[in-house]
Amino acid sequence: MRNKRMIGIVYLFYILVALWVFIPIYWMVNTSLHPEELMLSKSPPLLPIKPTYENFRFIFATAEVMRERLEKGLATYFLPTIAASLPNAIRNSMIVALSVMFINLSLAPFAAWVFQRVKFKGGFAIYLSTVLTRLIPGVAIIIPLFAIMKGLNLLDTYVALIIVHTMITFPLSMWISYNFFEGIPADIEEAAFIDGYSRFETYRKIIFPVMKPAMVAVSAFSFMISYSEFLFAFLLTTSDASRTVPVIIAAMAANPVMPRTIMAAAGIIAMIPPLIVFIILRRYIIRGLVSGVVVR
Amino acid sequence: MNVGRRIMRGNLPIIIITLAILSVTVWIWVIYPIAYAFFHSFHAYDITRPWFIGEFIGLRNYIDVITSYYFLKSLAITALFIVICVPLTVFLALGLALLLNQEIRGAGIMQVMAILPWTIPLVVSGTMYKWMFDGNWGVANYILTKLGVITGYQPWLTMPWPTLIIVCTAWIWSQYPLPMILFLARLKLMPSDIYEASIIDGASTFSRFRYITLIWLRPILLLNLIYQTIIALATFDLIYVISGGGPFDFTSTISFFTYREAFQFFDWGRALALSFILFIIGLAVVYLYMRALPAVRYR
Repeated sequence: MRNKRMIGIVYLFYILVALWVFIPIYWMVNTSLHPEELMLSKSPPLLPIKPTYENFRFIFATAEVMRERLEKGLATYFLPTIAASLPNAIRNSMIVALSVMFINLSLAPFAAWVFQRVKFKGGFAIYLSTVLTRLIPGVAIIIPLFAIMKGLNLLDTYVALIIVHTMITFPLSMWISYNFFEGIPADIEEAAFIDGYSRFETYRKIIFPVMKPAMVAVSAFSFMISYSEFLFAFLLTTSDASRTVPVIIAAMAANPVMPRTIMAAAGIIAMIPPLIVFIILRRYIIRGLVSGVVVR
Repeated sequence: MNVGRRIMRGNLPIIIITLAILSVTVWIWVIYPIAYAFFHSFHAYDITRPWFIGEFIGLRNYIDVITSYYFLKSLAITALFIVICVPLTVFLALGLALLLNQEIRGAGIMQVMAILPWTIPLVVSGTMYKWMFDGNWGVANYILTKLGVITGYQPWLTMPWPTLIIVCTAWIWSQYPLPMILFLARLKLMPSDIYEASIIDGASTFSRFRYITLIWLRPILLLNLIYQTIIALATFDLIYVISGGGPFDFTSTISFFTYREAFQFFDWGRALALSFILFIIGLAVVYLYMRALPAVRYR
C-alpha cells in the first residue's frame, strides 16, 4: 500500500522534471516554426499547427532570402546576416571538438593508467595537482592565454582552440580514466609483466581492449565541453576561419532587434550535433561512468 | 631490491613520456598564464604599446582594482550568485539522482531526458531563457498574465532581482545534469547488503537516507560542491548572453568584470590583477571546502 503511494510520488516528480526540462526546449522549437509577426502578437501560438521553415531557410540561404526581400522592397537592416556563418561555424566546432576528443582519447587514459599503475615518488601529487587545474576559473587565465596566442600568432586558428580546449578537458578525462583503472584488478598486468611484456605492450594488448566504458565517458565529456565552450572560443577567434557555434549564437543574441524566430532556429541547429553524439553514446555514458567514476 | 630497481629502470621512459604529455596538454597552458598574470599585474600597461612591458608599479593595479567602484559590489554579487545557485543545483541533482535510481518503469527514459539540458550549449540555453522572459513578447509574461498572477507585461530583464533570478534559473537548468550523473553513477555502485540490513533492523526511510545513502555519497557531494562553486565563480556565458551584466551591474560578477576590464576598458594591468585575485579566490574556495568537510577522501 505504502509502496504504491511512493511510486505514485516518484512518477509525479518525473512529470514535473520532464515539464521543467522540456518547456524551454519546446518553446524554442515552437518559436522557430513560426513567422516572427505571429510570435510578436499578444497571444502567440502555443502549438506549431501551421509550421513554416522560413527561419531555417534564412540560415542556410541567407543571401537568397536577403535578395528576395530587397526585390520586394522589404526592410533588411534588422536581419542577422551573421547567421550565414552558422553552417561554417558548425564545421569549425566539429573539427575542434572532434580533435579535442581524439587527443583526450589517445592520451588521457594512458597518462591516467601510468599514474595508477606505475608508482613513483610524487606521482600521486602530480596527478592530483593536474586534476585540480580544472578548478582554476577560466576568466583568470584567459587574458594571459590571449596574449600568448597572440604572441605565437595563433589567434583565430583551430590550433589555439584545440590547445585550450584540451587543457580544459584533459584533467577531467584523466580523472575518469584513473578511477576506471582503479576498479580493474592489476593481477593480469603483473602476469603479463612477468611474461616479459613491456609496459607499452601491456597497455596496448591488455588494457586497451577492456577500457571501452572509460573511453566512451571520456569522449562524451570532452566532446560536449569543447563543443559548447564559449569564453575561450569567443576571445580567441575573430573571423569565420575559426569561429565556433557558441560564438556565432552569442553574436546573434547580442543584437537587440533581430528576429527571435531566426535565433530559435539557429539554437536548434546548434543543438543537433551534441544531441546526435549524446543519442549514440547515451547507453554507455552512465554505464561508462558507473564502471569509471568510482571515486572512492 | 635488485628486482625493484630493474622495474624502476624499465618504467623511467614511460614516466618521462607521461610527464611530457601532461606538460604539453595542460601544464604549459596553466602555469605560464598564472605566472604571466602574476608578473604583469605588478607592471603598468600602455594600450598604445601593448608589446612593451611597462614600469614596475608594485601593488598599484591591485589597489586600483580593490578600491574601484565595482569591486566590493561585484564580490557581493558573486557570493550571492554562488549561495543561491550552488546548493540548489547540487541538491536538485541529488534528489533527481535518487528519483532516477528507482527501479520502476520509465526510469530509463527519464534518465535520458534529465541529461538533455547538458547537451545544449550554455549560450543557446541562455538565449532561450532570455526570449522566454522578454519584456514585450516573452511567453512567461503571456502565461503569467493569462493566469492572472501579474496585471500587465513586466520588463523582467530591466529589473535587478528578477534578472538575477532568471540568470540563476537558467544556470541551474543547464548545470544540474553533470552532478546528477555523478551522483547516479555512485548510487548504482551502492552495495545492496548494507541497505537490506538496515531494512531488517527497521530503520526508517529518512534515517536510511541520512545514515547510509548520504554517507555513501559524501565524496561525490564534496566534489560536486567544489566543482559547481568554481563553475559559478567563473560563469560568463550566461551573464553575457542574458543580461550583459545589467541592469545597473546587478548581475556583473567578478569574472564578468575581469572580462570588462580587459576587453571593454582595455586596462590589462588591472584585468590581470583581477585575474590573479580570482585565481586566489578559487584556491581559497577549494581549500575551505576541504577543511569544512574533513575525513572525506577526495580522490
